[in-house]
Amino acid sequence: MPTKVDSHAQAASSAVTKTLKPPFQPLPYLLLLPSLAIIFIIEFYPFINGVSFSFHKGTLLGTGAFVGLNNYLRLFNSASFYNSLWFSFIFAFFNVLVSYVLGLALALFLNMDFPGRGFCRVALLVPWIVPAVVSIVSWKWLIADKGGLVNIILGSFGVGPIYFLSDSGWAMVAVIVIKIWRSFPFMMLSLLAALQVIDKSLYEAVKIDGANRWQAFWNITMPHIKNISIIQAILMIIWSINDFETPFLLTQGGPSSATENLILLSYRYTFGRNDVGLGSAVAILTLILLMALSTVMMRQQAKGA
Amino acid sequence: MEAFGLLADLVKNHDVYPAAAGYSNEDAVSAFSQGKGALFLNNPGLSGRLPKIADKIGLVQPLVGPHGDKGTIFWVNNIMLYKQGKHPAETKIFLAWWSEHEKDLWTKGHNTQLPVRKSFAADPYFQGNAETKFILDNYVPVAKTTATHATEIFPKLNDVEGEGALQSLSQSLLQGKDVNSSVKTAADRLKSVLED
Repeated sequence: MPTKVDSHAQAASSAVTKTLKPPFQPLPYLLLLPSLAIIFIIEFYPFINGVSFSFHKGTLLGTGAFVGLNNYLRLFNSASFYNSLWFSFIFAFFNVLVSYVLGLALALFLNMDFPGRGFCRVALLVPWIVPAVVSIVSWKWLIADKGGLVNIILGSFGVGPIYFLSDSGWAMVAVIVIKIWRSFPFMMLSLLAALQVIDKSLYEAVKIDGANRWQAFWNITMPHIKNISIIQAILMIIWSINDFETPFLLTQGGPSSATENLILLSYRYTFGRNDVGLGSAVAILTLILLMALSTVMMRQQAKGA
Repeated sequence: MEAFGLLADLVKNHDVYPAAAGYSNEDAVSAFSQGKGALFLNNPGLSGRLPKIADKIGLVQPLVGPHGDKGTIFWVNNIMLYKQGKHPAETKIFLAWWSEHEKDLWTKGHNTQLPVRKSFAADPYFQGNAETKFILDNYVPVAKTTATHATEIFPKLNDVEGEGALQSLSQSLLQGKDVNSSVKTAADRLKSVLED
């Protein structure tokens, strides 16, 4: 039961709050306006334009007539779209999975104390630092059918030659492996940073309790890197599905569209077919797919937190 | 279908290099320059790009189809004047001047392509060169552009002929895939390109 004294105290407190509430200050909002305007121009305007293009029958010369959902319906009836969707899925799945496993293994290795650790840390970042054009052209030379180092080594064991970029199956493998090679250093670096903030005394405590290395990894390391792992996975999925340069520079999406992902398909429709509406529809569907995936993963992260 | 069948048979008989499906034009030029290809379809002026083996390169007659028809394809780089430009009259005067004075560009070794103008083609520069003379005499008369039968602009051409359906079909056939299913895939894609 509230007493009379309590009521007086609440009234007094409310009065003080009212008195202390600062008046509306427009200046901070005005100062934010230029930044908001820039964000609108570089983020929202192209996005809204893209959505608008996807509802029009446009070319590179003009927006064209409004066609409603026709571009989307054409995509849903197109074998090329499902082929690209499938390759994008395979490409992202293996890139995220293998980059994560490789990155984690190397991060655990680099988190140990051993001579030459600094050199190894820098050396393992090279694939991430080298510009895409340089690394992909180097890989093209490495896996070339004639004179390529990989086929020379395979040949010394009596294997091959393997036509990495000329066979649909091998081209998919090559594009995925090269993407993994370019991606794992970022995963490794982020996981290494997360590993370094884990309190070492936790490992000492579980060791005293009789836990083996696997149990220490599973019960101490993994929970500590779970959040960063989910964020890394989301980023890697987005970067994989949005990757243009790896398949384009290696195969241009071939042979026979085997390595054509959604972004290459969007590019082909827009600049090859001069069908901006269809190209925009692919881009918007890709965006929706990525947003859905990101939302699911963020919810998983929130549940586990 | 006869042409596709012929290509598929060449692949089946190992007459086509297995890596060809993944080759860019530069890869093909490189392989040919190393003697790894006997026949190579390319533009005029290839021997000029490969001086070390220029004396080993010969030209064959244009390909003859299964029904005896002979032909090839060529591309014409046209010059256009825009009516909506700022100075159309002055541009026209410049183009007339250019047309009168461009012969040196063609006949002094600054260009590896062939001229459209017959007066340029008749110049000793072209007639005295066995390779260009052969192409002018044998290929140009039977050549057609991709727009030969077209009555209007087709902006989606690149998705058919350039990096599109036909390239994808060729890559399927060069990988030794089934002709009928490869052609069906290409036909579906062409249908989608032509859809409005």
